[in-house]
Amino acid sequence: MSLRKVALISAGSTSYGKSLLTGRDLALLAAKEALERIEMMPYEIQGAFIANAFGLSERQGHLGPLIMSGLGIPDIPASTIEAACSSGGSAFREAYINIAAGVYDVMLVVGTEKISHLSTEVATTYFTFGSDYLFEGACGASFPGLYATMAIAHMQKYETTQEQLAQVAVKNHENGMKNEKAHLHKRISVEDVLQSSIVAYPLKMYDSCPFSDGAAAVILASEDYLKKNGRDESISILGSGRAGGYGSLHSRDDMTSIRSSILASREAFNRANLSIKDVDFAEVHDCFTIAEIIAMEDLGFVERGKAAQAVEQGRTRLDGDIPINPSGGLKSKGHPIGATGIGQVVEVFEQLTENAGERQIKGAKIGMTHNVGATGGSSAVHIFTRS
Amino acid sequence: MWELQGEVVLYTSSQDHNSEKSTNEGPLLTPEISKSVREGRLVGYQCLDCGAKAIEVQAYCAKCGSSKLRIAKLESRGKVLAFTIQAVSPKEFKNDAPYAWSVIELDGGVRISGRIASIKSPDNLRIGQRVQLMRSEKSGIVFEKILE
Repeated sequence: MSLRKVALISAGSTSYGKSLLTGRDLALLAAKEALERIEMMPYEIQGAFIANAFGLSERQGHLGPLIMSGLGIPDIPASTIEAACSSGGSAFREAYINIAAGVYDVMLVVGTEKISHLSTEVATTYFTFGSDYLFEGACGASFPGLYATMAIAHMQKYETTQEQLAQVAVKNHENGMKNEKAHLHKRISVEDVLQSSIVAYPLKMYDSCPFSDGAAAVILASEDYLKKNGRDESISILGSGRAGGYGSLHSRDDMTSIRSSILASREAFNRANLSIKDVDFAEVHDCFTIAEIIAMEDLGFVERGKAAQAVEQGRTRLDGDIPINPSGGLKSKGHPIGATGIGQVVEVFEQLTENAGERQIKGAKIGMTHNVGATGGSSAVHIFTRS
Repeated sequence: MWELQGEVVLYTSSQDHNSEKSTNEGPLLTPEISKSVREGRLVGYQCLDCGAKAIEVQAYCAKCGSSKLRIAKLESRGKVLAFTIQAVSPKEFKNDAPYAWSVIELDGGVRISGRIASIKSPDNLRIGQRVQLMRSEKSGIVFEKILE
């Protein structure tokens, strides 16, 4: 079956951080911003996917009908996609497929998460529900602990240092300073990172993303529909890829790489008929500093074991040759689990429509998103260009 | 501040399970793994077609796809492949922190993960450290350092 062309036509987001609003409230605000940006009425939406991981901590499941009702379109079908931290990338992918296959012409994808009502320890416990709980969460591993274990493996294999990991945080915090919707607005030094409190050795507080509340929304449409209705295409989706992987770390031959990222990017690039060299910037999944290092190597921006060096050389800064996480990434912009993967797409929209303000990457034509579920049990990769 | 509602299921605490089987053929499911850990031993699955062994909840062999699996005893000694020292822990382990969690390669090659008892600092653990399974006093899979 041939796929129809799909466009990303709008994007909206709340600020990330601590909020008194519920996940449902946040979702409505993000969706409203996306709709108003292109002066679209909600009734043009034919279907929706919601990305949300921990709604049950708010005692609220079945968010779809609540969000659709809140938008005044209660008859529109919406269901939740849960894939831990890649819920957003996964929901985006499902909407893309639905439009590409001709089932719908216009879809809304909203990612939302509310976590700040939980104490750090309880939130840490909730996050372990995304691990292979029998071997990981139930045995005392937290998510920082799992990525810390991957960091130790990477440090052993490639002599990556804690100072190099810290450079990732410094760069992403610098970018976050230029993003008014970012959770953390704080310029930090390598020294600050190294001296911050240990979360799970060797990862420290500033190696880790914050617990964030927030929501992000995007609207997708078939190019057929846009032509018929005289709307701008804005951004084209060139490639979509998604893959699964073992849930637990111990099941993998190599803990220094995330196979699902490699497979998802391979699919996305094959569909787009492009290579990593064509990408002008990327929003990658940097839940911890080591995750950005591993992502750069898995996606092929650099050779294995060379990512830390590239970060040190400044190549991944806004003015470098491979800008990574211009938004500030999960590290500084924040990581509201369900919203994260959609928020990455929002940043690509801002960059490719020249609306990224101080963090605008000049002349950027091709952007990509990379969203990882848990420690790599699933990944989603998407590639976009200006129309 | 809301608290987590309900009890988190820690599979190695004593709990009833009703999957006692008369034969050891078939998929490897959670109760078998939990029961063995509680008793201070480890079981995995072994594929009757390709011989692969692993400790996973598994209905088809991860290596060759065969459904002919049997439950097999695993070695209880091995070495640390990578580890972390958890300073900030999930709520259930608050009183134990800091503690070590690691990925371990058992003798014979099967990989597993779990805590390492009595380790409070990275200075007290190294990659390659020999460890053995402990009968778990609390919850989850726990190993201890051994000197050989």
